[in-house]
Amino acid sequence: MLTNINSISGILSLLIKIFVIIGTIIYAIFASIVVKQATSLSKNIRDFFNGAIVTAAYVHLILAIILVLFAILVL
Amino acid sequence: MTRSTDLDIIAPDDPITESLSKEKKEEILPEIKTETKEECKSDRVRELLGHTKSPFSPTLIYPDIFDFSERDSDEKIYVVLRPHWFTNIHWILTAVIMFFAPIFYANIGSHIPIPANIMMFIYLFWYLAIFAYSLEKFISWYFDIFIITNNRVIDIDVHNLLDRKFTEAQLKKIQDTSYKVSGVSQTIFNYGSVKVETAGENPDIIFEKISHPEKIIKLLQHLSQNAYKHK
Repeated sequence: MLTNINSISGILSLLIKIFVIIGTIIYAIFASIVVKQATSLSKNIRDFFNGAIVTAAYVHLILAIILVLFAILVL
Repeated sequence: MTRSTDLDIIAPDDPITESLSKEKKEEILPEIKTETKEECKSDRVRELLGHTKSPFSPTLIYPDIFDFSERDSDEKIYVVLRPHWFTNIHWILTAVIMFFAPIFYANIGSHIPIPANIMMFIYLFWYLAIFAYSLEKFISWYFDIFIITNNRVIDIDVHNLLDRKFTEAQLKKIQDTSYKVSGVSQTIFNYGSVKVETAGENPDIIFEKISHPEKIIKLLQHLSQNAYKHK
């Protein structure tokens, strides 16, 4: 009985982990779209803060990738 | 002719060549004469909208740095407008509340046992989401632009990161302009929408939530009349 509960909870936590990893990968894809769009807009419209915006978009992408790695390794 | 960067010292409304006679201007400074003519047309821009030097301003008059890829080589940018700064308040407040929410959770909901690694992951995801939300909102505001040049008006709309629209109308084709200021915040901070109706099958251009819409209307009327005269 106790073994069954343990195995069910193990499967459940594995499923949750898989869903979280998939979620973070989708988030990283979104972050790459932000980079693409920020770069494209900065090419079309040149203004004072373009550099800061593109940098922020890249920082966001790097953090999103770290989140994916975090989900795979730590959770 | 290069324009001085300090607009408070050299007023563009008082060109250096003003004291010279017409004949002398043609003889001595033929290049300056062309530039002055161009500036005379747009004197109304500064007269109506004043001077602005801050890159943070949503209204840029004769911007030095600003440029856009669709600009023609002989095209001069008079004004660049972004939505009024007050339109950013709602997302800034949301981001601030979201930022401090985990602190409230730590005080109120700390009795729920969550492993440290999961908690760290949740925090990382939470603050990343706030960062993404703020960045997306700022980009949507920053690249939502209305440009007035010596030839045309251009509206670049960025509703979100996946939705972008470019609309333009020649100044000489502008038929009618109107503006609308509605609501408490728009009345207090004096911002609203400007509608530009054009001849032919071109779609109307609507500039949303821009500062001093009544001045923009006057400027557009002035520039379109000038453009129509020189057609």
